[in-house]
Amino acid sequence: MEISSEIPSVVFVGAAATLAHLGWRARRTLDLDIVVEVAGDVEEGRLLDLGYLNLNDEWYTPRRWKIDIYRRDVSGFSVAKVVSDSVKVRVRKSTIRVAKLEMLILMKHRAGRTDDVRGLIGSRFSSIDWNYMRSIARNDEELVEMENVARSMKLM
Amino acid sequence: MQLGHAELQMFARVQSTLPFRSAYTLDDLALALGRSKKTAYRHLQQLKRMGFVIASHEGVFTLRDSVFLPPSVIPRILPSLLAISQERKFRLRNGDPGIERARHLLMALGGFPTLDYAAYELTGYQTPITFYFYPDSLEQAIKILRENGYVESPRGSVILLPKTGDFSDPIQRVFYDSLAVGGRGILDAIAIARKFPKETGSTGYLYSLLNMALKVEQDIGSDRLISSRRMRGD
Repeated sequence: MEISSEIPSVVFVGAAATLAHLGWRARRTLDLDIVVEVAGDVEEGRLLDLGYLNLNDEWYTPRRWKIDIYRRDVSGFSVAKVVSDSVKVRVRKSTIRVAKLEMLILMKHRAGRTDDVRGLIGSRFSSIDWNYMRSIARNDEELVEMENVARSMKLM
Repeated sequence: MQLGHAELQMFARVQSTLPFRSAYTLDDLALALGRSKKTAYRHLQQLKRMGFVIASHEGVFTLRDSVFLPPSVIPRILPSLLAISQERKFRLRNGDPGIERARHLLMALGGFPTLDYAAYELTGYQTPITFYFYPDSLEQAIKILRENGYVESPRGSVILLPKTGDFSDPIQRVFYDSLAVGGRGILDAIAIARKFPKETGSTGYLYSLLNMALKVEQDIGSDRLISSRRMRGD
């Protein structure tokens, strides 16, 4: 959560976003995927001043979490779109921004993380805005595939 | 467990022509197999019996990605799949997962933990959220859970599996269970293979692939180090 105060324009995608949407119950590794819209937030000198480490071109937080920073696009979504559609999630006494549920499902799908796709659709089915998903899907096939995941679980 | 000729043919077709997707229809399977929808349905039932189908409803289904593992590995994961397909899920009556209490109760009863927690204990790689356990006696385990306020629930995070197959090498068993369950389990399996190459060396070509991946990673790592040293003028 400290990352949000150190990098103000950060939006979490990947495992942290999955955890947030699944009520903090999901498996994860010790790495974080983040998108950052404001270039100055992740300027090398600034990160080093904050105690971040750069080892072999990979960034680590002062708490030794590996972070992958996306500046242009991630899984086919522009950073601007991820940021503009992101949602706020309350964590303890602060707030973080994470990728919108439907966008996260498509990101996971495009990354081949089928178990995360099933987990998100299965646990958050009633919260999914299928019209919004249609608007951001690459094509009808992609949307139908997500609907089929829900159908296979007898949710549709 | 061995695969018959027909099963080997089915895996070859599925692995070479079925695209990697989050969900499939019977039409997708028929197209991949180059057979009729009726034959595809028969194969789907076979995949289901083997434990590769996660969910299916009205001709739409999801598959474990372990179905795409090399055919030489498939017979080794079949006992795991069989056990996983007969899983019994429990949680506390008040809705809590009750994992720690169940772990304590079940370990005292005797048996073998696997997947999430066992993989985490071996590798420290992915945080666990579900407690999978092969009790020595399934009936006893269910009885003790019920006596302690647990109920069966599709959302349960305490999962009992019937003991099926070989448990003589615990690391190997957790490795094959992780491969079988697919998804994030494959990541666990890779982490186990990296840490315990001797115990997981029985996977043939998969083992070679993992070793080659490690070599490439190490080579790229040392290249990076050399190039960054050069950049600094060392």
